[in-house]
Amino acid sequence: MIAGFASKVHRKFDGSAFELMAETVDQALEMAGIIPGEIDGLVTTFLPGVFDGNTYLHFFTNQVRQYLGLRARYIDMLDFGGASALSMIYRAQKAISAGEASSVICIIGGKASEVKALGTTVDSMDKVYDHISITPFDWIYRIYDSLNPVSDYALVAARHAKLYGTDDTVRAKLAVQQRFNGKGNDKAMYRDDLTVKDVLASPVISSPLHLLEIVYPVDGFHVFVVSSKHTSLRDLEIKAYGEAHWAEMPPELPDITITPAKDSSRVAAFDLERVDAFELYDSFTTTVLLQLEDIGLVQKGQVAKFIEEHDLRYTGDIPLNTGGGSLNCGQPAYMSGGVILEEALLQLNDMAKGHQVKGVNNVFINGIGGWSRSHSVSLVLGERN
Amino acid sequence: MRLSEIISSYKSTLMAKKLPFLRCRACSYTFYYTRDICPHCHSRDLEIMESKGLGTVFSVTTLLNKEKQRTNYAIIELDEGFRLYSTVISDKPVEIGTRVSLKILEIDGSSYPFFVALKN
Repeated sequence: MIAGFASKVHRKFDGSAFELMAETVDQALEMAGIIPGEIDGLVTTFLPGVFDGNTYLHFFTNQVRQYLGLRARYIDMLDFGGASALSMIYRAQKAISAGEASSVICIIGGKASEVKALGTTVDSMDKVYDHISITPFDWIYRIYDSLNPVSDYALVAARHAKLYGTDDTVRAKLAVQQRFNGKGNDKAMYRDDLTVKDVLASPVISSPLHLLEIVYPVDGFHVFVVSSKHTSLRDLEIKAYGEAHWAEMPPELPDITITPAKDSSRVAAFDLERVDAFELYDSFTTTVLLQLEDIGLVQKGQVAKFIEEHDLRYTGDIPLNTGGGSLNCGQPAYMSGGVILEEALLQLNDMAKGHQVKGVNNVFINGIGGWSRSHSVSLVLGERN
Repeated sequence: MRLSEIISSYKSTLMAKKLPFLRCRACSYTFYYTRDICPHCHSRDLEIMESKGLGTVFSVTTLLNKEKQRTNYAIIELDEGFRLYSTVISDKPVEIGTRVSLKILEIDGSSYPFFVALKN
C-alpha cells in the first residue's frame, strides 16, 4: 500500500517551497521505485500563507502538478489541518481500490518561516492580512488579544487542571518522555537531555503552557506514495480508520476537555491491546494527554495517574510518540500529521534507527486538526493479512 | 431574521452597554455566535435576547499581548447558559469559577463585551 515515503525538514529553508517539495517527492519516488510518469493521483492540503508565503495560491493542485509535471486522473484536497496527512493515505488507497488511480502521491508541507517572519502564526493570519477570516464570527470574536492557537489549548489545559487536578508536572513528564524518544532519532531537532524541572523553568507562554510544551514550527515536507505496486517495504494495510469533524466554536462545546478523537477512535473501533506503538498528535503536551483519554487508553480525567503508572518511552510498556513527536522534530508548515505518520511507517518497517520499538505489527496514529479542535482522524496501520 | 439584522441588532445592544445572545424558540438552546440558524436543532425560529451580564469564568489563560501587557483571555459562561470568548480585565490572576460581570469597552468606535471580577 505505502510504496515510498520521505521528509525534508529545515528550521528555515532558504530556497523556494516548490524546490523543497520537489526534492521530497524525488526521494519518496526513489524509495518506491516509481517514476513520475507512473503517478496518476495527487492528494494534498493548503493552509493560508504556509506553503510559500502567499496567502492564497489559485488552483493549488494545478500549481503543484505544473511544477512537478504530473498529469493525474485523481485529485483530492483535504482541509483538516494537522489531521489531513492521515486522511490523505486513506483517500488515496480508496481511489486505488476503486480503480480510479494506481499510484497516488500525497504531499503535506510548506514553509512556516514565511508566516513566522510576519510575527504571527497560521491560525492568526487574519491579524496581519485583510480578507482572511478564521471563523464566520470574526467581527465579534477576533477583537480580543490572544495567541491563537496556543491560548485556545491553554484554556483547555487550565480547565483540565481545574476539573481533574492535572498539574503542570503531568504535562512536563510527558514532554520529558517524548524527549527521551527524540534523543535516539536523527530526524529530531531537539536531542539534549530534558528534565521536568527544565520544562517548568521554561517561560510560560499562555498559562499554564510553557515554551517547552509547544511545537516549534519549521519548513518542510512529507511525501507518501500510495500504490498498488509492491515494493521492498512491508506490505501494509489500513486496519482501522475513523474521522470526526465537529461544528462548535470551542466555547460552545459541552466539555472543552473532550476532543473529536473520542468519536473518530470509536468509528475506528480497534482493540488497543493489539497496538504496539501510539503516535498521537502533539501540537502541545496537552493535546497528547487529551487524546490518551479520548481514544480510550484511560478514562477522562485519569491521565495523570496513567502517566505515573506507564512507561511511555519507546522501550516502555506503552510506546508513545516513539520518535519524539513533532515537539522534538519540529512542526512543518504548522501541521504535525506528516511527522507522526512517517514515524509510524519507520516503526512498521523496522527503520526507526535508535528508537525502534521491538516487534511492531500495529501502530495507532491519531491526528487532530483545526485550532478549534474541529477535526480528528484515527488510523491503524499494520501488515496486510 | 436575516444574519445582517442579527448583527445590526447585536451592535446596537452592545452600544447600549448590554450583552446580546440568541435563543432558539424551538429547542431553547442559547448561543452567542451570530448565526441565523440554531446550531443545535437547525430551526430558524430564533429570538435575540439581552443577558443580565452576570457569569462565571469557565476557563482562563494569562498571556502577554503585542504591547507586552498581561491579558486574561477567557471563556465566560453567562448565567443564561451560553459561553463566549472574552477577556477578564484584572491586574491580579483570575481563577476558573470566579464570578464576573459585563463591562462594555469601545474599540475603534465599536462596543464589545469584556468582563470584570465581581467583588465579594
